[in-house]
Amino acid sequence: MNLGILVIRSLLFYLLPLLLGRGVVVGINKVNKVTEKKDKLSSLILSKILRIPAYYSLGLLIVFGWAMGIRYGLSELLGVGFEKLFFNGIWVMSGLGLVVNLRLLPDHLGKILKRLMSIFAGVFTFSVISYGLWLWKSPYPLNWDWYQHQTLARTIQDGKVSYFTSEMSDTFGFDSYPPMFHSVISIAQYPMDLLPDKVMDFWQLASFWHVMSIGLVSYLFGYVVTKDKYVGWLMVLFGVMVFDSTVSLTTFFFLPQTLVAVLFMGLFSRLLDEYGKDGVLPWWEVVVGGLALGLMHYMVGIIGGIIYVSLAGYMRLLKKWRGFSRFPWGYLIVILSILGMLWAGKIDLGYLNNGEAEQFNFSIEKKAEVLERSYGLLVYVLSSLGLLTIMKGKNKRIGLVSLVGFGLLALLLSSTPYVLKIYTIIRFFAHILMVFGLWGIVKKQKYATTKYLTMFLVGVGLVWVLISNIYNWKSGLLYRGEYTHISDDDIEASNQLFNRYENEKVLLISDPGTQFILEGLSGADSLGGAYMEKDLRNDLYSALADNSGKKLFKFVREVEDGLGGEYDHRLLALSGRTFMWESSDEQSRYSYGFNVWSPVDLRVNDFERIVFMARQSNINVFYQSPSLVILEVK
Amino acid sequence: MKKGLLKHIFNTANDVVLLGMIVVVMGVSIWGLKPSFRNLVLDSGSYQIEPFPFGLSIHQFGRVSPFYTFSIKDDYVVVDGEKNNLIPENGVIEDLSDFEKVKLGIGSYLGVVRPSISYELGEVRVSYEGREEGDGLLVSKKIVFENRVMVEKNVMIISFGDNEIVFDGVSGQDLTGINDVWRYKVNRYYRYLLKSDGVLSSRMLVKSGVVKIINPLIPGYLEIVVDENQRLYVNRKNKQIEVVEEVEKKEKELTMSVLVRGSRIGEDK
Repeated sequence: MNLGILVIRSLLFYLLPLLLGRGVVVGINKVNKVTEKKDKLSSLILSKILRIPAYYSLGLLIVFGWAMGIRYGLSELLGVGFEKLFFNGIWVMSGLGLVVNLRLLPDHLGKILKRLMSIFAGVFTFSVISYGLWLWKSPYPLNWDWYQHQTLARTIQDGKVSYFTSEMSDTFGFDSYPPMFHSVISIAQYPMDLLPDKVMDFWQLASFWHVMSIGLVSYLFGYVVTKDKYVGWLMVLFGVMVFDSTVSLTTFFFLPQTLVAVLFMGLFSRLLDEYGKDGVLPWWEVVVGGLALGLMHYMVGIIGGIIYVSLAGYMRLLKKWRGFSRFPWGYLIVILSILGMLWAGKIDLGYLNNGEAEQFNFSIEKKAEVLERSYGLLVYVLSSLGLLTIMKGKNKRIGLVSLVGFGLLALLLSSTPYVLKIYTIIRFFAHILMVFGLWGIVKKQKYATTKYLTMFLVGVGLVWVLISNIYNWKSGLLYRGEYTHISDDDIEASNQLFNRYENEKVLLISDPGTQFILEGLSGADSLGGAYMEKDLRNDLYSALADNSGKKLFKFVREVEDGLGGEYDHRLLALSGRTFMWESSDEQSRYSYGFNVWSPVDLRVNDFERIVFMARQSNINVFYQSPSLVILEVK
Repeated sequence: MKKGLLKHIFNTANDVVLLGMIVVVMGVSIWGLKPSFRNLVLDSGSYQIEPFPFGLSIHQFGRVSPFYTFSIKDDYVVVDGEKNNLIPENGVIEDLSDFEKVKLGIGSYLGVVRPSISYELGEVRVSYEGREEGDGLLVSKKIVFENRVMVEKNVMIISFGDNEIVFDGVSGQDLTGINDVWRYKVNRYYRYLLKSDGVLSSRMLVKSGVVKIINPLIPGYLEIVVDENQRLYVNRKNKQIEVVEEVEKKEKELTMSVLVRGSRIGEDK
C-alpha cells in the first residue's frame, strides 16, 4: 500500500464524520428552506468554519450510534453480522453524505479556501517542524497507548463490539469511554487489513493530522477571542511548539483524551463567538456537542461537556430573562474559583487515588515542575503579564475565557484522580493567558516587520524548550541509535504473526510490555496487554522461576484471558523485556505505571533458558531473533 | 517631511525597545529551564557509553549490568621511561549550570554534542570523548600539555570483570581461559569456535588487533578494534585490555582513539 492511500485513510478519521455531520445538517436545512443571515464575508467565513466542530460531533454520533444500534438490535433483528452491516452501512451513508455535500457546497467556497490557504500553510509548516523534532531519531510511534486503541479498532473490524470497552478487550481494565474513537479508526482502516508496519504508518500520519488540528483550533480560539490574527498565530506557536509531556500529552499523542480537547476547543470557540455577539447556539449543536464530548472521554469530555452545555444554557437565559444578567455571575465564579484554588490542594481525595490513579496524583509542587518542563519559566512570566492585560481589557469574550480558565485551574490544583488529564483542555486557556502577556507587548509595536520578528523570536524560544522537553522525555528510550518503544524484531515478529494466524484465534502470553506491543501490532489476543491483572502477573512470574519450563507451559496451556475466549493457538513470547521484567523489583513488576519501555536484547543465559525449555514435546519455535523468541505451545 | 521622519524614528525605537523586552522575557524564561537528569549517552548494539566521574563507561542501558571503563585512573603515558598515570585529585564531573546542561541535552538530541569528560591536572588537561563511527563508537583520549613533552608511549586501558570471556576476534584464540561449558555456549549462541592453543600468559599481545568480550550478564558482545599503529594486549592478571601507542615524539598535544563496537547474539560475525 502506497503512502498516498495511507494519507487518505488517516485523513478519513476526520473527513468521514465531517461529511456525515455536515451532510445531515445542510440537507435538513435545505429541506426546511433555512436561509443564512446575510453577513460580511469575513464574518460569514468565520461562522462557517466555527460550525465544523458541531458537524464533526454529529458525524461521530452517527457512526457510533450506528455501531451501537447494530450491536444492540439491528444485527439480531436482521440476522446479519455486525461487520457487514456496520461497514457497508457507513460506506452507503458516506456516499450519500458526499453527494449532499457536493450538491450543497458552501457559498463563496473559492473565497473561503483562498482566505484559509495561508492559515493552513502556516499551521502545516509549524506542525512539520514540531512533529519533525518529535520524530527525530524515532522511526516508530512513541504513543504507548496506541497499541490498545488499535487492538480495539481491530476487535470492531472482527465484529466484536460493546458499549463497554472492558467487554471487548481485557487490555481495558475499566471503562474510560465507549469505543466511539475506535469505531471511526476501524472504518478508516477498513476494508483492507493493514499489515503491522502499515498500521504504524497510519498512526504516525493520524498523529500528524492531530498536531495540525491543535494548531488550527488554537488559531481559531485566539482569533475568536481577540479578532486579531497575531494572537491567532501566537496561539498556533504555543499550541504546536509546546509539549505537555506528563499525563495529558496533548501535542503528539492522538488519543480520545486529546481529541476531545480539540473538539471542545472548537465547540467552545463557536460558543464564544456567539456570546460576543449576544447570540445563542442552536439547540441541536448543544445536544450534539455535549453528547460527543461526554462519549469521547468520560473524564475530560464530561467536564468539557458540562462547561459547554452550562454556558450555552447561560447564554439562552441571558437572552430570555433580562433579570438573569443582573445577577453578578461573573463575580460569583471568580470568588468560587479563588476559593477553589486556595482549598484545592488541601482537600484530601486520597481515598479516590488508588491503583493506577495513585501513580498520577501529583502534589502542587510536582505539578509546577511538570509545567516548567513544558514551558520553562515562561509559564510564570507570561501568565503574569497576561493577567495584567486581562485586567485592563473590556472584551466580554476575554471575561468568559478567564472565568472558564480559572475555574479549570482550580480543578487542576485539586487532587482529583487523573486531574492532569484535564490539562489537555486547560493548556489552551494557559496558552491564551501567556499569549495575552505577549500580545500586550506585540500590539504596541507599530510595524508588521517587528511584530513578525518578535513572533520569530518567541518561536525560537519555544523550539528550544520543546527540544529540551522532548530529549528529557525520550532519552530513556535509546535502543540501537534510535529512541523507540519497539524494535525491528517486534515488527518482523508481528508481521509473521499477522500473516500466519490472520483468520485464527490466537492467545499470546508474555510480560506486560511485550504482549501489549505484539497484540497491538499483530492483532493476536493477549492477557490484558500492559494492563495484565496482578494475579496473572504473579502466576507468570512464579512460572518463569521454574527453569524446566514445565510450570510455564502449564500456565500457557491453561490460563484464560479476562474475557474467557476460546483459542486455536497459544503462543509464549519470551523477550529481553520479559527477563528484565522478571528481574525488576516487586513494586515495578506489579505496577500499571511501569513497563520496560524500550526494547532489550536477550542475553546468552536467557537464550539458554529458552532453548532448554523448548526441548519439551509439543513446543515449536515460531519466531527467533536477538531480542525475541516466540514459542507455539500445543 | 521632518515630522514624518521623526515619527518613523520614534516608532522604530518603540518597536526595538519592545522587541528587547521580549528578548529579555524569553531569555529569562529559557535560562530557568530545568535540565534532563540523564547523562549524555551514545549506543552501539546492546551497549551504551556515558561519562562517569573518572572517564567513560560502557554498559547495558536500563539494567544493572557489569560495565567496562575507559578511566583516567587506569590510563597512562610513558615519559622518560616512567609510567605516569595523570590521576586527578578529585574525579568529579564538571559542575555545569542548568543552562549549560540544557544546552548539552539539546546538542546531544540533535547529535552535535557527544558524551565527554575532561580534567585539569595542573599543567595538563585530559579529556575523553565518545562519538559514533560507523556502527561502533570511537573513544578518544586527548592530552594537552602546557609545554611540549617527550612522550614515549600513550596507553588506554579497558578494564573488565571476573566473568568475562575474552578472545581474539579474528583467530578465535581464547585469552582468558574458558571452560568447556562456556566454549559450548559461545559456539552455539555466538557461532564462534574458540581455540585454546598453548599456555596462557598473564599478559598477551593480540596480533590481529581485535578482541571480543562476552559477559553472560550483558546481551551480545563487545568488540575492540585498534589501529595499525597501536598494539593490543590482554592482561589476564589485572583484568585489563591495554591499547599501546608508540609516540616517541616531543608533543604538546596527544590524541589516541579506540574503536568499540557492540553486537547482538546471532548477528553476523
